[in-house]
Amino acid sequence: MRTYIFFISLFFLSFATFAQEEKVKDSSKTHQFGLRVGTDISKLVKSAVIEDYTAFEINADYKFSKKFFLAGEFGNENRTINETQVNYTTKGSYFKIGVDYNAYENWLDMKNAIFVGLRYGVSSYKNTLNSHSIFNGNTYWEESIVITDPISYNNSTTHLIEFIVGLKAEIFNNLYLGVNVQLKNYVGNENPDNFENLYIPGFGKTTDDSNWGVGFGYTISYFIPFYKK
Amino acid sequence: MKKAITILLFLSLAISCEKDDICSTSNAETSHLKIKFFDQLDQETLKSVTGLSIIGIDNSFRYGLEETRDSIMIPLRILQNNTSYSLIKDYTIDDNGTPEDSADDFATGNEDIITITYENEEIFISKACGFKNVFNDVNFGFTPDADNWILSTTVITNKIETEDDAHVHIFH
Repeated sequence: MRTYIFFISLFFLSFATFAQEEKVKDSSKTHQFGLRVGTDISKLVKSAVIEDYTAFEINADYKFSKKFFLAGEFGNENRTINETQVNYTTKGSYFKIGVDYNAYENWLDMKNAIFVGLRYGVSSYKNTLNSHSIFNGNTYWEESIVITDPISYNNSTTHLIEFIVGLKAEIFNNLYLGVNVQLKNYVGNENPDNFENLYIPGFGKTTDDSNWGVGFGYTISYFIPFYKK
Repeated sequence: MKKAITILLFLSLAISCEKDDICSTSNAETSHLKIKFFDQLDQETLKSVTGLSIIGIDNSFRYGLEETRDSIMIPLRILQNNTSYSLIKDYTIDDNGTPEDSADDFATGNEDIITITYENEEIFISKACGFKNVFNDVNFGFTPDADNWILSTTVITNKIETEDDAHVHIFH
């Protein structure tokens, strides 16, 4: 599914970039400064396709110098996951704020970007254990024990550090398509009593052996120009 | 730009792979009750029980029929606060003088009933292992009868969480 979405967006992106590479290079260029606001399409598609998953993310960046953008994301996720031993729901919101650096040398007044960025994020959410089983290898008394009484845990807060690499291409006037991958690490993660944060909104599934996670995003965004220089 | 797209494509493919979680934590399973048998006269010395048969009370199946054992591991009921077992020493089937006819066979041996009471506590282990049950406030006793082979018992730990050491010693 993920790969499929990627190829579709790749298709559009390559059109956009090929079209622009035909333009003539010129040393005198102006920069347009302004705010770009968008959403993550992959989250919308996943919400529609995956059962028990709803998510929405707004992302924005503000170009404050020739190469640097102030960037951030705000989103919420509601996900139910059925593992062999536990079925749980994680519901919450997150925000991430940081800086993007555009490493792409644009021709003329093009506004494409190949960027690298760094984010700090906070995710606040609530875990509910819908059902769970008790690991009992011996079936002399009971075949298997599944408890279906839901358990609600206190709110969890997790702090995130994220490295992001991606590209944004202007497909129409001021309308951008983007793709990015994220490498993230959670710090300051406090588990609820007698449970663990198995899914963190804005991070994804956690694993037993590391604090690292990866993610990807496909964005569509609109640039609101403020001034030219 | 094209090179960047290629790199991102490979990164995206790598992300598509998701790790499976397999329960590999040690002591992730709910523990059995581990009983060791000692000599009543020399309480430091293990003493095997001969021809030991184990049947859970209210269970229609026999748990174990062992020749001779100096320790046993028996499961406790998780959804209840007590479990009882019948431990029969020198268990044999008497064929009533007719080895061909099994209809008139009867069991012989010295039966003692042990009862364990406890409080259940669920402890989260991991996503892959789920929860395990820990037995707290463990009490252990046996029902007195005219001819007990069990002479005395000692509860070593009142919390059954792992199977490394015996939880109860039985002296006979």
